[in-house]
Amino acid sequence: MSVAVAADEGMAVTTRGLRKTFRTVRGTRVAVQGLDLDVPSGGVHGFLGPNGSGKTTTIRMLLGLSPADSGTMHIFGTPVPQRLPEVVNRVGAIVESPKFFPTFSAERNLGLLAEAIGTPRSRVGEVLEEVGLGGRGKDTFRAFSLGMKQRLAIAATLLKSPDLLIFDEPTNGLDPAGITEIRGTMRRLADEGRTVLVSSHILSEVEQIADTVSIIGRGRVLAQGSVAGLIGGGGGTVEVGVRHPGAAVRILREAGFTAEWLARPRGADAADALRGLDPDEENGLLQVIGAEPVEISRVLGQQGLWVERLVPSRRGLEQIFLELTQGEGLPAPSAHRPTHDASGGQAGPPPPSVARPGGEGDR
Amino acid sequence: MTRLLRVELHRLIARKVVWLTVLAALAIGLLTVSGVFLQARSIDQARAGLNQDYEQMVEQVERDRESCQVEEERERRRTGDPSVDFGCEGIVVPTLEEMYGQMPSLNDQYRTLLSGSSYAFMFLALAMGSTAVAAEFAHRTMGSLLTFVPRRTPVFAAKVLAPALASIPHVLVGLTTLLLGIPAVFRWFRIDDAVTGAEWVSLGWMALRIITITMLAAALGAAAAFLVRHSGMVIGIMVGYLVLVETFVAGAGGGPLGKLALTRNIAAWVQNGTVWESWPMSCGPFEECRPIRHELSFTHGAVELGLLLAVIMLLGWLRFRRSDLD
Repeated sequence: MSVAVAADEGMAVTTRGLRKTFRTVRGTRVAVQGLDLDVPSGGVHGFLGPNGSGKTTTIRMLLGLSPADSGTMHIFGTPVPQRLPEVVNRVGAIVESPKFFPTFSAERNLGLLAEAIGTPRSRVGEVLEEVGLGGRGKDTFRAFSLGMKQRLAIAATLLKSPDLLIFDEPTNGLDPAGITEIRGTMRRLADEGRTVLVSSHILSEVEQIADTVSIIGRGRVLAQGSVAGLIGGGGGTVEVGVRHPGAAVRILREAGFTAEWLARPRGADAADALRGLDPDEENGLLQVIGAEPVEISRVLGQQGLWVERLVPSRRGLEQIFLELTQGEGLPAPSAHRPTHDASGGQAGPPPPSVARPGGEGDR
Repeated sequence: MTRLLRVELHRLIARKVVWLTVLAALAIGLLTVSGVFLQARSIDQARAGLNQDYEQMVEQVERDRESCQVEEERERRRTGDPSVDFGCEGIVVPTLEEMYGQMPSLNDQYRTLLSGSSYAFMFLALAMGSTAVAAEFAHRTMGSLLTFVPRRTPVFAAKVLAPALASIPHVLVGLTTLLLGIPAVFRWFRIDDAVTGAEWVSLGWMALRIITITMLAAALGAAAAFLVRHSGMVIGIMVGYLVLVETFVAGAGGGPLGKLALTRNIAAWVQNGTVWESWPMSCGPFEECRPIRHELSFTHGAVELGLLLAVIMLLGWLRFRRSDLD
């Protein structure tokens, strides 16, 4: 792995061209391929992608648990893993599930870690209090519920008073109360000025707390930036019911809107779709992105097309993700229907709306 | 490094495995002493119970000798040959020791039993060392620790060194049990024996070598667990090796292969050199079949054991240093 180039000082984490392959019985499997990740300092950064997309592998490489095949990584501008020991005290991480000795008490587990990094033992009680386990320090780890184990793991990361916290799928297996609790903890930690990098495949969950996100699929970044920036560039999605949908799409596109005809079959070529328009097509349903309902109504009205239905809706990260990964063969929640571009160009994912993060003020 | 070592020692002491090895070593020591006790008691009982028989046997032997001498004299007179010899002088009364056996000397007992028990102490240390490290992989806490302390070489060193140090209590308990228990048995049965000053020095060195090799076995177990990541596999490989390979290698007698046998080299280390005998493959019909005596020096044992440890350590360290960890 080459030695790092100068890194962006404002970034908590950067990776460039990161690549990792695993050998399997059937050959090699690429887990991460050319990942260019930017995690800005401060706030919660969602690291999103489906299972198997390379999130955990990336985190393990950042933490020196798994060597990269090629590429560079920096944490707070320091190249890792070459100089990881220099910044490790600024990083607290939980990779996958919390891992402690099951027969040791919470206090003993944390006490040994505190001793390993030279933190006073008195800090153990403080961090246990901080995560709400103040009265359970003598209990053995195996007696803890999943939520308590997760909180103990967070407490462990706090032993170092880190500037960067990395949580890998922290709410896996938790009940709704546990999820809310962990979510609140992460938000609180970010509000204290730390950077929280949280990986998850549950996009709607991260959307609630993240300031910025990176969406990855098949080991590479598909989009990254502020949550608000990614979700329709600040605007919303409007579902439009109109009698002549083909004409309506054309009119709206000519007016500069991004319009999609939801009734077209999956993967249809947009130009062909427009050529074969039936002007009397009924049941037309459009999706217009990034426009206000009143403007849509005005433009169509001016051309003599009367809107029968106008439902503003906000695009979520899940929808963004589905759009980005369309055609990638990545797993997608079945409850969501992908939309298809009815106009020129390919029917695949639109380009990421924001490439560079910086949306701290959105929250 | 010192801090990491302290942490590892605290972690080991907090685990049951260290105390279990101490208890096991105590049990081994007590069992060995009880073996000495049973041996001494059987000799003692034989002596007490068979004293009367012995007196009768003495009378019988004397009668037989006299009768022999009478017959011998009669034959000389009959033949006129004074050189007739019935071998009556050969009819002698056996000593009590010859009849009932004799306890080995205290020094011999010490040397035999300390040497024999050292294999058990080493096995316990190997199991403890491998379990200590393998548990970290099983519970996947190794990765957690490395997110706090990402320097793998010091972590490896601490995790190998800690079991070595943690094996000292059990070997001390085992040795102390033997060193105190065996003379207690001698006193109990009023066997008058003592160890000379020079013998004590020699025994002291032997105990030190046993402690050292036990520590090395613990380190070897830990390093092997870094390599195969499962204590069961470490112990299985070791036992399998001893049963399958070592029997064959040791069976090779005094050849070059025989000198490579691990158990012989351990004996050479513990006993400050060892000797054994092997029989020739075939003896001619009129040849006297004599065993061949072989020697293995302490240095040979030290070099072979040191090489084995170094190789396993190196392989374990390389695997740990380069591998992906959870």
